[in-house]
Amino acid sequence: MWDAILLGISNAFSFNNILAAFAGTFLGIIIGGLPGLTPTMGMAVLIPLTYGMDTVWALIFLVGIYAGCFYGGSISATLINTPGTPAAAATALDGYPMTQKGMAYEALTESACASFWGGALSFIALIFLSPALATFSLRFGFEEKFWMAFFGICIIASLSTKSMVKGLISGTFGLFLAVVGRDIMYGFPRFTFGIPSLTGGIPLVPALIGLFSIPQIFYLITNKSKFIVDWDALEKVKNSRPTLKDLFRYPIIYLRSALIGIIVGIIPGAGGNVASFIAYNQSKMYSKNREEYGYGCREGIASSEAANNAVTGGSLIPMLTLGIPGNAVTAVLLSALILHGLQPGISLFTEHAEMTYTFFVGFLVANVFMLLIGVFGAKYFAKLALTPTNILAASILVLSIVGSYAIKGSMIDVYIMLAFGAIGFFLKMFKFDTTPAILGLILGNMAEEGLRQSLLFSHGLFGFFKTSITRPISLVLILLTLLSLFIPLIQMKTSKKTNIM
Amino acid sequence: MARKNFVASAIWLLLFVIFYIMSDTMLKEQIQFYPKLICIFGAALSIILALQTHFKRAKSEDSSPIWEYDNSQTKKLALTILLISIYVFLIIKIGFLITSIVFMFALIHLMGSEGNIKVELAVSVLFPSVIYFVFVYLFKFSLPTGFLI
Repeated sequence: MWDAILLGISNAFSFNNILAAFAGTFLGIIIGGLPGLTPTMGMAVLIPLTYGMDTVWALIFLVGIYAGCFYGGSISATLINTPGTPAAAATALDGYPMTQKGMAYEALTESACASFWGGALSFIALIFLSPALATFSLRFGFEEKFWMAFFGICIIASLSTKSMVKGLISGTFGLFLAVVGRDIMYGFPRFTFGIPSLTGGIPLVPALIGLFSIPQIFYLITNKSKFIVDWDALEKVKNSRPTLKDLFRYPIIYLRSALIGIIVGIIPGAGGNVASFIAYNQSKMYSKNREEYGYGCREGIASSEAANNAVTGGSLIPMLTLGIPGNAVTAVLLSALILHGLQPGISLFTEHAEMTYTFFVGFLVANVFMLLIGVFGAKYFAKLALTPTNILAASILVLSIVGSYAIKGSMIDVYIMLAFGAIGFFLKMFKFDTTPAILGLILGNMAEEGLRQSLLFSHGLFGFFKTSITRPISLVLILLTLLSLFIPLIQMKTSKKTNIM
Repeated sequence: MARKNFVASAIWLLLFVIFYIMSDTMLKEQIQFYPKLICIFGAALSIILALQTHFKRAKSEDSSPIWEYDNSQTKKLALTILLISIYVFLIIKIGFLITSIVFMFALIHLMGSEGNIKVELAVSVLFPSVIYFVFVYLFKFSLPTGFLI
């Protein structure tokens, strides 16, 4: 492993990889800093830019976007009280009051430093936990594969959406969409309607672009937001200079919050917003200045930002090792991985080890760029929020069309993207989350292969369940699935009790 | 929300029934099991959503309409869809670059101009041009070409 890490370090510092990390982080901060653009949509529409790139270059570019987005969200949260991403909501609690007090520079610097520590510590977890989990995944048989995929969809459905049933319906719809294409066992075409593009299944990238970008375009066009920027605060930011002390101001908070972020990131379904609020509350609990939280406390920003950026590395772990994306952004990243001919699992740490560790080190490099851009350039990104929504919507649409077309040079993919855009719009209209649907589409083949192959050996559904509960790993996965389905019920009971109190 | 949920559960139920019938009639017998299983699961969830909404309805006020957009928003949506349709149709007839420039300017301008028309024009020309350059010359991909570029 160490040889691969050393090779990864030397490769990551090649000109192309450094450039990819910088470009990705830069674009990520722009996307994160623009209220109305989500990291998932940003990454989906930018995947096409990676078509012509080398695989490692592409992955570093995308992970740079991922890290940059999470940090970028804190800029608008701090300066205009509008979190650029949901993960930055906790940052706004103290960031904006600090801006009102004339301390915008301190808030922005703290966001950048804490985000860097969150990302850097999650890099360590990524390096050491991923190979272990990938080796463990070798014990997975067909039953485990099915239950793993099913658990992934169930937990996303129950944690990432307000209504678990709606999340499950969306996930089931995704599973059905994954049926389109050649049958995995007999090779017969299924619902391809004679369209050659569909024989390999629904093309993932156009589907992702459609589901995540078109509803967002409609949102931008129908909801015009006017943001007010405090120009005096920005002027003060321009005249301030960072010091090295800023980087090491709250080591305990960085460490504790990053640990929370890593753990939350590993759990599918929970995301940066969950991690940042847990870390914020923990930090408040242990702080001597707890009464200042919510009124412009720098520690509050440190905790939420370290946690939400630690989620980035944490969420890559199950995605790379088990093929289970923990959230919509990693689902997009997984599709990019597949697009570039790679499969998650142990092969990433054996035959592709050099590439994988280059990618990991590239993730760290992206975090360093995030720190530098954050500390020295946040003041310039602040004006991004003033970009007219019409321009954003039109640009996203052109990029979506190009991205869908370029992969195969086919207009069919553009039509598929638009069809998925319409599906995404209606899902949003009826308050269904699109993430479980895309997860169902991605995990569909894994679930189907697991179920059908194990049914062959266990002779029917009853035999399948019997075999599943006698295998320790699949039993644990079944229990986790059941637990994920009961979490919303427990949450409902708890909130009722809180309301009564 | 209740009305929305009832409509949604009815649509989902109908869709999963259609998917089930399609699986039954269009697929060979050996490969019908898995898609049918998904449809049964999906249909059951749709019914659960309807039941859940029914039992919760008494406790909550049902005020939100199914179509949440007002007239001006609906007009904007319709206009956007129309522009996208024309754009996708013309892109293969005329070519990516010219169509995208015209489309971007039309969308930005017709959706309620927020700024300087020169800026809008500049963005409409520069953005597709940069995209065209990056994809065609840097990454060597082909973009739709018609009788122009």
